[in-house]
Amino acid sequence: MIALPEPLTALRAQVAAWSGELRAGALDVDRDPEAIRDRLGLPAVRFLAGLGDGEPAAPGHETLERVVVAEELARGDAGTMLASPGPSMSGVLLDVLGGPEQRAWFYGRLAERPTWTCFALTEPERGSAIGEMGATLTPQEDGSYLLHGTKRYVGNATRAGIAAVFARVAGTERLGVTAVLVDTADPGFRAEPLPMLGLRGARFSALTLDAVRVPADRVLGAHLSPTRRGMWSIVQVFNRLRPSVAAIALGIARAAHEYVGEERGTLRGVERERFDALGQRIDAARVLTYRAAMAVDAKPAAGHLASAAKARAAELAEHVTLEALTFFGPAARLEHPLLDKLARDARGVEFMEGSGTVQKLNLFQGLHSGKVGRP
Amino acid sequence: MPVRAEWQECRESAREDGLVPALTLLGRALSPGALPRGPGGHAVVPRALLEENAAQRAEAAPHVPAPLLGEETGLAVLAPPAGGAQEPPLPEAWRTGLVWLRLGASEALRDACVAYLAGRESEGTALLMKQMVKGTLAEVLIEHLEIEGALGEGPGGDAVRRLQEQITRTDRTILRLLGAHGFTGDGPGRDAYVSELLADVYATAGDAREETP
Repeated sequence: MIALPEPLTALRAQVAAWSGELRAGALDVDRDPEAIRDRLGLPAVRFLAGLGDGEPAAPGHETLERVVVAEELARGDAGTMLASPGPSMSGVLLDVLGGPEQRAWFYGRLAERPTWTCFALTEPERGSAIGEMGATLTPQEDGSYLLHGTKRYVGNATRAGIAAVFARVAGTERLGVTAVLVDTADPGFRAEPLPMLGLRGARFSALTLDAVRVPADRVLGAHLSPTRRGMWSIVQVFNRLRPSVAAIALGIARAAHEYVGEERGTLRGVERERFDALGQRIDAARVLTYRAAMAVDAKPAAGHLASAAKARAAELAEHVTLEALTFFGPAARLEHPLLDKLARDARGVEFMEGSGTVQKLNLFQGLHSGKVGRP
Repeated sequence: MPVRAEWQECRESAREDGLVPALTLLGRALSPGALPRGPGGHAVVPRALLEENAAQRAEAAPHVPAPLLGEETGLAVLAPPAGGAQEPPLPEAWRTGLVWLRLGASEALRDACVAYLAGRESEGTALLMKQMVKGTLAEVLIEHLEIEGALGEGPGGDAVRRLQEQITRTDRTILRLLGAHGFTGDGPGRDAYVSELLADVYATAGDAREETP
């Protein structure tokens, strides 16, 4: 097993201790995603809400830190974790693309009260294909922009105070994609919740942006050189996020695996072998995920392992959660509603931060260019 | 066991009309007058069928609150009857019919997937025409053809369980192609969820893959 830096071992133990109370409320948040509002005092939720731009637990291992935290919290409940206020994915975006004043504004808002943020990338027609994005920023004479577009499957958009929105600057070339920070109280911002089959706590929403005014100082990356502003940075953001999504999948798989262990007690014979094999597959996917996080931490452009980890862990979460149900008798989904929820949640990881197909295409590029799969 | 006309009809109905009409057909044809209960006593029943049985069954059938199966789905999920009242065990023909029905539902999911991907473009090409998508859909078709063939042979017992698992795996492959669209509560993923629930509730008692002593 890969040895974690000491501060992360301690952090893992701290976060792991919160999993029980997350699990205890998991079905409530699944039933009613707004039930998170009654849980803002939970240590895990406060931890997520209070994540700032201060010193990381282990400097130089920021992606690995997020992986360790995400696995343990998702092992408690991925729905509640994703329902929590805090910087979340937008925080990673700020790490890469935010200037000092933007960070100060963002984290200043978050420090006032528990504040949700959302990350608006996916669109109804084109999914997450960045090169074909329809949302546009139209420059105004005073240097600000007007933002138009529709987004879909944006977690927490209905309750977010700040939205990070990806859009194309009108009149620029195809890859001219920019991220901006939007105050969701501004006129023209409208979010509607979508009914989902799993990860319901995340409150995936549809977003309509109708002439939302974006001041010039809310355009991310303006302080960077033009080559570093666009795709270069966005790819880095994904490279950093994908290991965390893999870790969420691992946490879901582990929750199901541990549930079987706890509810069935001592297993024997073929069942024992099946149970152990599932555990070994989870451990193997964790090693891959840790390696992916360390690769990105060492070199932010090294995202091929992140794609491998994300694709593998998402498949594994589906497999383990379905297998877990077979350790119980008929109507296991009704008799063990937590396992039913885990089997539903596992499906949702597949489309977060790029589907398995997207990851595999990315991996092929790495293979073809010799950037991965060579000693 | 020869292939029964009702099974074919259930498959057709699931593919053309949807899961609930097909389940209604299955219940009327192969467990008339009795609520189809799984070995644990639970039932997933079309509300229409429940109405027909209301007189004798309503009191003995507490509903299980299922977050994804509201009234609008046309389905009710029933807990085992109070006091352990025994329903007659489901006829084998009903259980086999359920596999046919789920095959039809899986084919309907495939149809929906093909139509959806044909209507979406990336870099000027329909997603349906991408090589990885074509390959995956061809694998799905192989599964469906194999299941169809196996059903024609009149499977029983353990083979039924394996076919149910194969249908679930195939559905999951299709759902991955649908992305988030297949994960919405009002999209094609909902019937796929109900289909998984049906396989679960009507698994035979020996279906938990326990070690044989």
